[in-house]
Amino acid sequence: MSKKSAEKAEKHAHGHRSSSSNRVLRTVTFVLTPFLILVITFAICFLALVKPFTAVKPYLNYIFNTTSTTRSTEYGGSLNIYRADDAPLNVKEVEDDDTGETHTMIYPYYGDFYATLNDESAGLVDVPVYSGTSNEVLAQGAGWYNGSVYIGNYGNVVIAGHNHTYFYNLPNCEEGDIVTLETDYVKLTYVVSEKVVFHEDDTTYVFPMDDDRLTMYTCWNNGKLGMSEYRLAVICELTEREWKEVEQ
Amino acid sequence: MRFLRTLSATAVSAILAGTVAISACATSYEDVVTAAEEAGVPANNVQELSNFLEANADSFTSDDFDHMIEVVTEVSETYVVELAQELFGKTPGELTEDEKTQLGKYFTTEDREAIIQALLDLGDEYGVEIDVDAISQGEYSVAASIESDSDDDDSSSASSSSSSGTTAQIVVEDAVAATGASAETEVPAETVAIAGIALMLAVTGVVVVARKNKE
Repeated sequence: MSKKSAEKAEKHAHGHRSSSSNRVLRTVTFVLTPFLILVITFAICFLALVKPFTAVKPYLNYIFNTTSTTRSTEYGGSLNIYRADDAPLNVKEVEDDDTGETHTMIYPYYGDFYATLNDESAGLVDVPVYSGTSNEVLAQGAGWYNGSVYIGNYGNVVIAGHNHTYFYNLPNCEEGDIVTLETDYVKLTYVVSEKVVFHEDDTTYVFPMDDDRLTMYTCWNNGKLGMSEYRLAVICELTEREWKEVEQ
Repeated sequence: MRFLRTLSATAVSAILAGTVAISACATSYEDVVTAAEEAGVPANNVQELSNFLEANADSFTSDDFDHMIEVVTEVSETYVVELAQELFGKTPGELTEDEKTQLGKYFTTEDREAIIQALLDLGDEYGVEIDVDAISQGEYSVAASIESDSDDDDSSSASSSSSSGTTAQIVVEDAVAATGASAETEVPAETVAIAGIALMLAVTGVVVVARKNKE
C-alpha cells in the first residue's frame, strides 16, 4: 500500500513538475520564440530599407568586385552600343597650324576605347579611357568628355571616372607626379600641378582653356565613396607631346 | 553600304546665337565654330560642335558651312540678340558663360519649339532624321542621324563625300558627369524580395513550431 502511495505521490509530484515545465515550454514555444523570429525578420527588413545599407554598398561592391580594370588596348573595344559594328576608323592627316607639321589623328566614335592613362605613383595603372561620359561608358572605364579637346589637340583634355572604380586612386595623385595619356596616334606626358575641389555646378575646370592641360576629376565625398555634389579635380600641365606613326 | 552618321546637338544652347555680321564666305569648319562662339553658344557646346566638324570636315562643303552659319545667325537674330541686350546690355558674343546659361532660361516654350523646328528643318535639307527628347523643363537632348548610301544617287551635300566617309560621333552631355558610387535612393527589388522571403520563412517557422508543440 505504502509502495503504491509512494508511487502515486511520485507520479503526482512528477505531474506537477511536468505541468510547470510544460507551461515554461509553452511560454517559450508560443511566445518567446516567435517573438524572437519576428524581431530578427524585422531587423533584416529594417537594414534592407534604411540608407546606411546603401552607403556601405559601394564599399562592398569595391571589395567583392571581380571586374578586371585592365583592358586590351586594341582599338574598338567591344559591344559599343553607340556605333555600327562596321563603322570604319576615322583617320585623318592634320596639319598643325603653328608648326606646319602633319600628324595623324584617329577620331573616336562615342563609346569607343580611346586611350590609356597612367600615374603609377598614385596607383593609376593602365586605366582605360573611353570616349564619352555617359553612365554606360563610365561603367567600362574612365571617360573622355567630348566637350573638351581631342587628346593631342591644344587645350584642356577632360577625363572623368567613378570614385569607386577606375578613379579610386585619383585622390592619391600628388603635385609633381608624372601622368601619361596614350592613344593609338599620340602619347602625352603631363605633370600634376594642382588639386581642386569644386561644386558640380561649377563648370570652370571642365570648360575649354587656352593652355595645354589635362583635367581628371571624380566625385569627392570627403574621402568616402558615394555620390557627392563636389568633385575632386587633378590638373596637370603638358610637358611632352609625341605623335605616333599610324599604319592605315 | 550604308553608313550611319550621327550628329548630336542641344536644342537650347547649340542654336543659341547672336546677331553677327559674319561673312558669307565661310569655307571651313573653323569659321562655323567662330560664328558659334560669337553667337553666344556656351563654350562646351562650341567645343562639341568643333569636335564634330573637325572629325567630319570632309563630309561638308563650303556651301554647307555657309548655310550652317546662316541658320545660326537667323535664329540668333530672332530669339537671342534682343534678349541679350535687354538683360545684360551686351551682344551675344560678349556674354559670360553664366550669362549664357541665364539667358537660356528666359526662352519661352514657343521659342524652344521654334528653335527645335529650325533644327528639324536644317536636318531635312541634309536628309537628317532628328529625335528630340525633353530631359527636363527647358533642357532637351537632340540627336540627329544621317543615313547615307554610297550607292545612291543622293544629291544632298552630306552624302556627296567619298564613299569611305565616316563620322565620329559626338554626344552632348553634362559638362560635369556624375562620378560617384550610386547611393541608390530607391531600394532595389532584390533587397525587398529577400526581406519578404525571410519574413515568410519566419512565419512558417512559427507555425511549424507551434503545431509541433501542440502535438
